Amino acid sequence: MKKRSISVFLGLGLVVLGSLWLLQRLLMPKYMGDIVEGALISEYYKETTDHDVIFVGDCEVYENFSPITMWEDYGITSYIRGSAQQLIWQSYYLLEETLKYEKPEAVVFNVLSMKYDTPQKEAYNRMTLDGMKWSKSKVDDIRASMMEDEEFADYVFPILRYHSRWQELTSDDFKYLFTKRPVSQSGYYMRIDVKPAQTFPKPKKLANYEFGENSWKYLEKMRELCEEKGIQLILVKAPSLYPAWYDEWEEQIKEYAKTYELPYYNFLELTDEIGIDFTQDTYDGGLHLNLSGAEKMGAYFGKILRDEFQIPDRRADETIASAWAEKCAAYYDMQKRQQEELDTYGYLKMFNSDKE
Amino acid sequence: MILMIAALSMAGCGSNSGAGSTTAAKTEAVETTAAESRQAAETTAEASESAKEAELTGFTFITGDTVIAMNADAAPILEELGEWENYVETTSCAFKGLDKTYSYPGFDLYTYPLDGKDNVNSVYFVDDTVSTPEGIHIGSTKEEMEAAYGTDYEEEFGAYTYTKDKSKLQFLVTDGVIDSVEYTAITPAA
Repeated sequence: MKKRSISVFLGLGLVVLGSLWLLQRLLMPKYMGDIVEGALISEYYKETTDHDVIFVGDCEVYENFSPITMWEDYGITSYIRGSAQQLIWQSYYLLEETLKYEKPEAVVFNVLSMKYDTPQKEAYNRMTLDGMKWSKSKVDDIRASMMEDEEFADYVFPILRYHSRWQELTSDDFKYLFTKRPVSQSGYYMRIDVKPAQTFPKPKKLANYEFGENSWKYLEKMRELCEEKGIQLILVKAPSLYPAWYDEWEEQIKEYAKTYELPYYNFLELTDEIGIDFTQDTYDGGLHLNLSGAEKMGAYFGKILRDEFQIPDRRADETIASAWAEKCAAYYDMQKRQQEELDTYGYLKMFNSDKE
Repeated sequence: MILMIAALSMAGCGSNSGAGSTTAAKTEAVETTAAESRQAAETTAEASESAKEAELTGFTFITGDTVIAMNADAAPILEELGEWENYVETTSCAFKGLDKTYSYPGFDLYTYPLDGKDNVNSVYFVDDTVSTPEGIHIGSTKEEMEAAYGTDYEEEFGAYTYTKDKSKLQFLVTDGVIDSVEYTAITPAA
């Protein structure tokens, strides 16, 4: 009798926990609609082969470099572990976590996020952190990222944060309850539309151009981690025309790179050499490159990776080649779908569902 | 599961649904009598007037006859200002809506989107041809600034920031001379 009671109790407990788990999955944002960036981080865990190059950073990495071009032109395997407004400590912890899965030859970090010394926005935190698998790196990342009004428990039990989303549930929340469709190709977010670069206003003067202590701390941690693992850290500034990249910031990065003999490429200064045409190669007026621009960047940077850093050509490896053949197929399929939408609607409906 | 959703909704804190949610247009059918409609309209008008007054209690920039308050609806202001010299729209990563910048002689006007409207986010002086209503401009001295606004400011790295209601007015001072002036809105949480 007692055993039966315990069994019933345990059974009920499992049902309740299972229901709560299911409810949590339902209420969490899926990022399968117009805004897909929140789905980027978790896609990494579906990778089946290792990568010789790992990118970390914000939208300036996941929109400006084509891993497929680097593969097709040079046989370079890469993955962009980027996310929207990824902060430098988030880049560090993502890198730390990535190195538990694989050891790349090189890590590429976009330096724009050095400008953010403190947590910025809960919504962006969520887009990076919710997609990470649970690990010490994730715990440390959450602790480093939380805004003042955030609670750690809300990350452990996201239902606490998203419970009010029940009012905004859509069919996508049910459709993607257990699995999601891919939104990137090796972490690259594709946009084929074109919006020529604008004439941006003169950058505002700042009271203080010095990068903060926290930013330097995590850049140091990143450098030391790469050094310890025998990985080449490469600093880059992507060729985004806005927001402003101040000369004073540039000098600090150059000084740091010089001190530690790190390679640093400011692609803003190399756009002519790369062949970027800001009337054609950007989809949002110069903030980010479109596919055409990202492929030019991939071709240019891929050559640097091969020639300067001897990143190997893996095309002879059948397992890797097979995995990348699938990636290429998905990449060109996405390009085709976007082209069809452009031809039909004049804009990308997949990212602008509310546009008439 | 349905009971749990119901329970959670009642416990809802009314907080924002969080990142990634789209802002859907919500319509609500309301049946009112003619008297209730009139009362509603009066209440709305009073609220608008109050809101307008609230906007104008913060720092305001005046150019010609146009008063620019922070967080104000940008549309009527832009109409009054007339043709701009340059226009830029930018998006934030992973968010809908455009931040817009309008350039006029002497200043840039920045807006942010909220609930379907563009609101004034900031006014930034680009040269010394414009002044605050209190007469401070790029090139004014720190003493002139203090004479105009007092010393109840926050200072960090030579940035002197005054706060008034839902607005800030910041002056960057280098060697005792103002080289940057900016009005900024303290924006409501999105």
